[in-house]
Amino acid sequence: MRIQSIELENFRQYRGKVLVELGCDQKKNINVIQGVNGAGKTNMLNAIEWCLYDKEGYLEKYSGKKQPIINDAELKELKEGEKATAKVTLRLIDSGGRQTVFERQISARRDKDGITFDGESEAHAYMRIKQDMVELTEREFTVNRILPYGVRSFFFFDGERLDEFFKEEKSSVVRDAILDVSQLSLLEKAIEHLERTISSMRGKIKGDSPKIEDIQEAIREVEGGRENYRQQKRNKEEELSGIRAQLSEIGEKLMGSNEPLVRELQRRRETLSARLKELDETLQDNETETSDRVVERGPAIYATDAIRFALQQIDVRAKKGDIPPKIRETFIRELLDKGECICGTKIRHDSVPRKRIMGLLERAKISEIYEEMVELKYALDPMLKAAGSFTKEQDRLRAEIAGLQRQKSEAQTEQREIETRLKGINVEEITNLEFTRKALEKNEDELIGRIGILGEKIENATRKLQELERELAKELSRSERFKIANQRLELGGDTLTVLARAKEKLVDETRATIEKKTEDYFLNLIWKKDTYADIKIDDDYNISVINRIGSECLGTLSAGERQVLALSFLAALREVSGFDAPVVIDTPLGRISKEPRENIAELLPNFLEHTQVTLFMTDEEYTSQVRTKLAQRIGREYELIYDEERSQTQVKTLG
Amino acid sequence: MDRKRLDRYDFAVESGEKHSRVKRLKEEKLSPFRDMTMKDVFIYAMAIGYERGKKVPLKRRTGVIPGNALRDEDYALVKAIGISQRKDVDILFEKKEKELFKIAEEYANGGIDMLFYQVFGEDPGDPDRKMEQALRDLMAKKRKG
Amino acid sequence: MSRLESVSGRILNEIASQTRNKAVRHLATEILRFEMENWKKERVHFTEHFEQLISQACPEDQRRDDSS
Repeated sequence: MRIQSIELENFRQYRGKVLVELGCDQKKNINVIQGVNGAGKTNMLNAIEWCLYDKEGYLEKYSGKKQPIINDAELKELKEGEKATAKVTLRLIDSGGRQTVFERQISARRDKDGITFDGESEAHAYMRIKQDMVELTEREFTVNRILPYGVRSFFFFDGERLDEFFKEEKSSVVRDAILDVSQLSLLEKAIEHLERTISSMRGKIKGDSPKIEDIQEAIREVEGGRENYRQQKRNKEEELSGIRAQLSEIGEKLMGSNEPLVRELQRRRETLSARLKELDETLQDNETETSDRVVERGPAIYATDAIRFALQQIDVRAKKGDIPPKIRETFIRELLDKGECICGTKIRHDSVPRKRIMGLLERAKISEIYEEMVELKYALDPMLKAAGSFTKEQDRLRAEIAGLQRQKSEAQTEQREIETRLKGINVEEITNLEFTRKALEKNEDELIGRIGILGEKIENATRKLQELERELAKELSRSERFKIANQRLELGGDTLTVLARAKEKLVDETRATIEKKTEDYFLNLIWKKDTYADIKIDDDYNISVINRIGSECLGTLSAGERQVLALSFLAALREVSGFDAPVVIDTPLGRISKEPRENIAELLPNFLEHTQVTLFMTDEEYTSQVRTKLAQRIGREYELIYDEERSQTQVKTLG
Repeated sequence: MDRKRLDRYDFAVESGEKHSRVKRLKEEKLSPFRDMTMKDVFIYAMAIGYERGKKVPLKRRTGVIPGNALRDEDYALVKAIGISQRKDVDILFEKKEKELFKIAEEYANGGIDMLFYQVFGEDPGDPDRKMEQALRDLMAKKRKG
Repeated sequence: MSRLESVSGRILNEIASQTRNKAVRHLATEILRFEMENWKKERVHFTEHFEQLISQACPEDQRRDDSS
């Protein structure tokens, strides 16, 4: 999907009609719109958002007054009885050549008493069907199919806020967006609805025995309780998100402090935090390993005597007799039946030859299981060894755990020292921030604990429900009357299980794929080739970057490197979701210093190869070097020039 | 390893309290088996039952552990215990398979209560640690005796 | 063009790999299709529609083949 053109009419500082046509070429897929801050770049992005979603989300970088949507000058020159209208038209075209047009407008009238604005804007959508432009009745539905609101930050975004993807409090936003775009949220909806349907169906069954009634009552109770817990958990999670945002803000304030000591201490503290997180994870892994080894080796340890005995028996039996292992039992039986050996010797009852042959028979039988015995020996030998080395391996791991705990303890002590030092700084603001931070952290811990407990309660309720449902099914199956009802409940239940399992598997698969692709992009394109080794994305979509020596180093990435990481993540998301929206980035290189800026400009096309890209840049970003790097891929170039006198922006075509 | 016979069989647990203990060992958050399967509980119980010499016939069966859930090592252990119990390798013959599996089931049946006590009993400590300590004690005892 | 026009193949494949039960597969697919189409619209309430789908799969008429 590509943007063919953006047309603004009397939208904010754009007076009259302004048309910006964008390149739709596969090869020349990058469009550049440059202008100083305040010239109108951000408002053009706002225009797109307003047109599609009736919202404007982008911060004004130039701190002017917030203007009404309709152009100021237009409004001023209105005569009584006249109307002014602001309108934005977005023309899109898909890979099949089908054109879609989105329009939104809002008007104002001047009457005796002043200017009256329309309460609401008016929106339309059209699609080209053959030669005609046909109006679409389900505009909102169409918008959300092509450019869903929930995932807009994956295609229209503020370049300076790209690393929001890495903030802990935003990770759930990322997770939800991914679920949305890969249709997994559809699965979630389906599961939720099916659950409620089954509950409703079950409730409608009028049992003819008090036992059935009792079970149904119990089910209702547990379901109600579980729903309650779910709601509580959602609330607490939101609270937690808010607290984390606040903590993040405080961290930023401290990092941005005028006092160099404060900045240093905060930076050190953040490094320690990352280190502690890493240590906790490793500790957790090690603890799990010790526990798993107990379950794994325990049986062989308890059964050591049996293993030894079995091995011994196998040795003895296999050595007994030196016949080749594969003598057939049937062959020997035939000999005995015939009463005569192949060499002609008669085999009479109780004779020596017969005894010999019976012995062979015994060994032949053993030969039937000879292979099995050999395989068994090969299986048991290592088990015995592993059983023997159990204590040694556990001790080693325990020593490692102790070492890690010591490191953890040291880091925590240092953190406390930093806290004390910061509190002791004779600047009121810093002391206040520290106290607030401490209180928030305590709050955070409590919430995490409570959310954990609620999670467990929900799991217990679900298990209890499954038990009750089994009981109910059993009771219902006693009576012919409920046979059909039972079948239906069973079908519903089985389908619910399938959907739930599918969702679990796909959510994890999606996460793993995004993790791999982000890593591929990042490691491939970052200029410091030997520094970084790994990218990890956990279930909550928190991203970590691991360096060559195995430490987490997201916090130490430079602004430029973070930008590359963010772009890698974005490219991975888009690839995995199969989402084909055009990309518009406001100030992609804003926070980046000179050299990395050129690197990124060079890399940009690699991230967004088959996509139409529109970049809004300041003249500081769009240097001649950057321009050179992008030259081959540039479709259209424009400059926005703000006319101070007339308070309006004009669009000038370049190139 | 030839698993045809194993994959055809479903290992049973005694229905009633033993069955519910197996389930609790698998399901409870504190249990070291929480991330494992019923099969792991079964094999562990079988091994403990063997070590203590507690082979208890099942009063009523409920089939909960499919044979194909056992790994090759688990099957090897079942065979070793069978051979040790019968004092002969002939338990490995195909026609004796039911007997082999029955031995496994009965030792598991005997060991389940002891395993349950080890994990959920009143002795102080973390279930993981308690189980590990039991193993260490056992190994120490064997070295001495 | 847009992945949001039909239920993704990935999801359908995963469902198919989870169960061989035709009735379950059919119900799961129909439910997802419904969710797809009713996203944002919520015209037909899901309970009615889902109950209908389930009833169709397990009808009253006993002579119908209930095999799964």
